[in-house]
Amino acid sequence: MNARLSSFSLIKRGLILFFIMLLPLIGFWIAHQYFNFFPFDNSTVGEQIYNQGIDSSGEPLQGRTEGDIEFKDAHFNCAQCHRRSGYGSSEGGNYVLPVTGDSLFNPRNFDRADLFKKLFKESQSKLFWARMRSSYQRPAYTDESLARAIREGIDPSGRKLSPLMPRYQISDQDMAGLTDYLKSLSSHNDPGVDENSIYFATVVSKNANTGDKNAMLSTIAKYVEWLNLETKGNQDHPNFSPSYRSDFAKAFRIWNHEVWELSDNPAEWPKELAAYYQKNPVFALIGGMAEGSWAPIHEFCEKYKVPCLFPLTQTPPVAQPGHYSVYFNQGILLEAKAMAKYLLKEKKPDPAAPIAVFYSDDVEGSDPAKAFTQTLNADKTFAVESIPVNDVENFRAEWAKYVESHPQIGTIVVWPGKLKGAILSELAVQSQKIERIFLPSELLQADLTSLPKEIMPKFYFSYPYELPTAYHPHTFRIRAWMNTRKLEISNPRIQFNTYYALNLLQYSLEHVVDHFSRDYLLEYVEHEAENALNPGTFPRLSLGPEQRFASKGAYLVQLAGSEEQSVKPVSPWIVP
Amino acid sequence: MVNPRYKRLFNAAFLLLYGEITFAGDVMQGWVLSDPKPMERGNAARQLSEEPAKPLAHNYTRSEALYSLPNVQMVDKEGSDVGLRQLIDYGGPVMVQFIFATCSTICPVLSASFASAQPELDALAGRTYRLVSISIDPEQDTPERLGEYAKRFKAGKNWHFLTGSRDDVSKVLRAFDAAYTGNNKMYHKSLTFMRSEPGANWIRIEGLLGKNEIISEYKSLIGLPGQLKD
Repeated sequence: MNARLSSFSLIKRGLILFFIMLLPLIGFWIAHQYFNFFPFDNSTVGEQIYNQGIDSSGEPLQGRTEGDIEFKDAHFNCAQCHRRSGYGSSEGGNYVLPVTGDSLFNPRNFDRADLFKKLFKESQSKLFWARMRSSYQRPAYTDESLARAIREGIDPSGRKLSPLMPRYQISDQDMAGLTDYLKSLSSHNDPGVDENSIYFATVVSKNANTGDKNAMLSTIAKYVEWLNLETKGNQDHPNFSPSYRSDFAKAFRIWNHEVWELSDNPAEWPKELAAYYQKNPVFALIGGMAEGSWAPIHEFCEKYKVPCLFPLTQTPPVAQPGHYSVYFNQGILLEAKAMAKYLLKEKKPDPAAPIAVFYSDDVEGSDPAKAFTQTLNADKTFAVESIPVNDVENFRAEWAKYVESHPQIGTIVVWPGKLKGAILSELAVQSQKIERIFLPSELLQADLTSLPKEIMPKFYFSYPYELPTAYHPHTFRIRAWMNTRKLEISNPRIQFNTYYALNLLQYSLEHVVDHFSRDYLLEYVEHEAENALNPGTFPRLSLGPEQRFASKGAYLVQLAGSEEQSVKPVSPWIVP
Repeated sequence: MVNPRYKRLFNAAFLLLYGEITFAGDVMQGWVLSDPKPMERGNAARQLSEEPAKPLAHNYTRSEALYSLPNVQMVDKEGSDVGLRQLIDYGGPVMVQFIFATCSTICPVLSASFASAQPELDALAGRTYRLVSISIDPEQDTPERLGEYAKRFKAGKNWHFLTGSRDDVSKVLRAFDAAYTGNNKMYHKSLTFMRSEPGANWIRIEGLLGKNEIISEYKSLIGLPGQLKD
């Protein structure tokens, strides 16, 4: 009995051992047969290789550029040079060819309209021009010849590609994925455009300042009206062609613009935006104004892949990743960081006297207060005392308490958030004790005349704009354009910024010609933002690949004279 | 076993003899950004067989000039102030490039040429050198962002990254005759400058360089044999 039992357990043990030994073999077999059971998801891998430079095994792309510079680096992905749209780019006199499905899998063709802007509207080197004009042909790529171009740098006509184009080491499986992705890349227009029209919208919330909203919307309305008149003129005279305009007839679209008004409740915004979009899927959002955080609109643009160009907001979601929204600057957070940098650069602080930070406990108050404190903490000798408030009465009480309990006060910073100018009258209490008060630029628009004169020299404002004394040649032209069209200039900053956004949109759309890809549009916005379109509202507006904030710094200013609320800088342009 | 360095030198000499520098990358173990595995040889071998042997043609132009540098204070990737002249006029050979961190096409390749040359420059015993990459987008390229960029290219202690104020960067660009049209950085050119010592002429190289090209230009700069024949 015992012997039988032991032989049984021996067999059992043997079987268990056998299975354990078999396990790696099974694993090996599964690994090899996996893709027969679960078909390889080509397009996802292709997109991952193209946009992120990561192959199907999760490794960064590997290859060689300029003949002998070897790399294993995900940054050397396709989108880096050919861009997400696949329409290529031009930089530093290098012309990067398009790799969209249409351009690769058809013989090379010469469309003058596509080349025109590159040839005559960009400042490029002679070599670049020569390359653009070169008449060399190549047949359509096949799967095999494309693989050869990517691996060996030889195109289907047998020519060697530029050494700048990396020669990649890439598996057959990944190559199949990439080829599939390229075949579909920008193969059709994005939503929001048809044969005759292109559709845009501007998001405004009901409770946003009416005067500001009107200033923005009236500028947009005038611009669209003016541009459409010109477009119609061109369409009505197809053979009248100064500046080769008839070459671009296929690109002309009437701009169709509508206003998307959001309710007072930001929690409802995602639903409201989705409903508007479903009704009219616009090609891009232009401008925009909302009370409170801009984050819900930012998220909508990411979700639906809609370019959202230059909303006039103080609260862009800086920390959230984003590809589709482009802003003038980081808003109130930029001001907070610049202010902290200014204080950091100053004389050494008195450790006994902390900097008091009063802030309203909403997003517009607490976010800058946090950013300010974080930036200041780079230097541990600064002590900060944070005082949250929730309404004007609360602010009055806290302010009085603080001022009374301190015999002498050095620096106070106030982030009033939604309380805005309502707190200004409270600042005058025992102000003789206070050395200086730092405020955001928004309060410069509030009425300061009711405040006692002696407090004015104590005010410091962050000022993320161009100084009133600066000269920008484009300002004059825009003012003239507005005057000619009898557009009342009620808020120059808002209207000039809106004009810039529209002008850049128009300019970038011209470059896109009839390839209505939202990514391509954004790529031109990045490329052209720095050209001479600056309306003079910021010292400089510039973007670059994946840069999403066009102006990067701020001044610290004081009031120049108490009467006209003009400002004078007390710092250089601070880029935090 | 032959010392790999001698083997490499021997191979390089062999290649030079046949003017086939284009394919030198296959023989010389290249620089790899994050993984030092050598490249697979198969593809390149096929390429070799299809390409007829032809004399080497550079993809860049080379000239000499004397530049007077402005005395400006810049900021390095650690956030410290650096005098441009002090950094460049330190007494030894120096190479300068203009880049920006979000640049899509040419800056990564410019910086990769520095990165690929680093090990060999380090190996030139007893020699000091400095590589300087100056951002032409200084407002975007904060010291932190330059630090990330440097890490990506495994920059060593001899490689300096500078940012600063827009005006100062413009002055430096103008001093090197490297200003671009329309004030739009997208139109910047691919330039590499080299100088053997303070007071000497700058070699101005326009175009993109491969690893061997940058090393042989550098060697010829400091008077070592091994420069490419035009």
